[in-house]
Amino acid sequence: MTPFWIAHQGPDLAQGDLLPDCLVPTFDPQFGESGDAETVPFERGDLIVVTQSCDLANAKTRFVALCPIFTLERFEAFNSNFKTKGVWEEVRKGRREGLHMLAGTDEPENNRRALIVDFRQIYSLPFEYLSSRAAEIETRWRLQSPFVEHFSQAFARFFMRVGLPSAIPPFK
Amino acid sequence: MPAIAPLPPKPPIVHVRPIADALGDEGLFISKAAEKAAEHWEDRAQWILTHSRESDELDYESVPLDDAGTVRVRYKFAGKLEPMPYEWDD
Repeated sequence: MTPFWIAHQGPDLAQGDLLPDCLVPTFDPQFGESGDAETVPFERGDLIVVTQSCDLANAKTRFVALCPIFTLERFEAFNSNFKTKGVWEEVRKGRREGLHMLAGTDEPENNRRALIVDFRQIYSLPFEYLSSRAAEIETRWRLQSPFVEHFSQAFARFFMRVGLPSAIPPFK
Repeated sequence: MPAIAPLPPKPPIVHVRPIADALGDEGLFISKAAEKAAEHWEDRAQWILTHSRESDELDYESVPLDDAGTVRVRYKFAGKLEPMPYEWDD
């Protein structure tokens, strides 16, 4: 089995980089209005870069788009309907909108160790923060070709989808 | 008037009992084949039920990130957002 991931070191960023334990601040709707010091909560999560590598390499962006990535167990803890037999197979085949399955970084042949990317949640974090976060990690994982192009295409297809007000009745 | 919602579909219950009296190699063979057949039918039933549902029923809830703490901040107006330099690639 061709590995999905390659080990990578350094501060450079590319599409398909898995960055564990990133901090994401969440702002109050009235943030910044008072002028006084405010308390901002922040969350921690494993994220994967969706910004195109060429934009990252040429410093064409100040902010980087990322999506959260989860283990199947973690996802099932919030979505028990995904424990039903056959559902993960649908996701694996790319038939579930918003979700993309990637092989696990360890034990790639064990499908229960696969990872799930949620395209519905897109975070934008400063390039410098992510670059320094990437440099802190001794060895991290980068999605390699052609898996990164497949991932990119799945994200693009999700993002460009068009909802129609009506549909032709299905053939049964 | 409120309507009674139909019960969600359930997989058919398949009972396959091994032949209690079957002993020896043949008995073991039959017992394993019956077990395999039951497993196969259960998988098929679950697969069909999964596919028969409307896609909305299989929607998902986005998993939240873990709460990691808070930070005290004071916001400072750093100026209006300006466009990034846009280079022409000829």
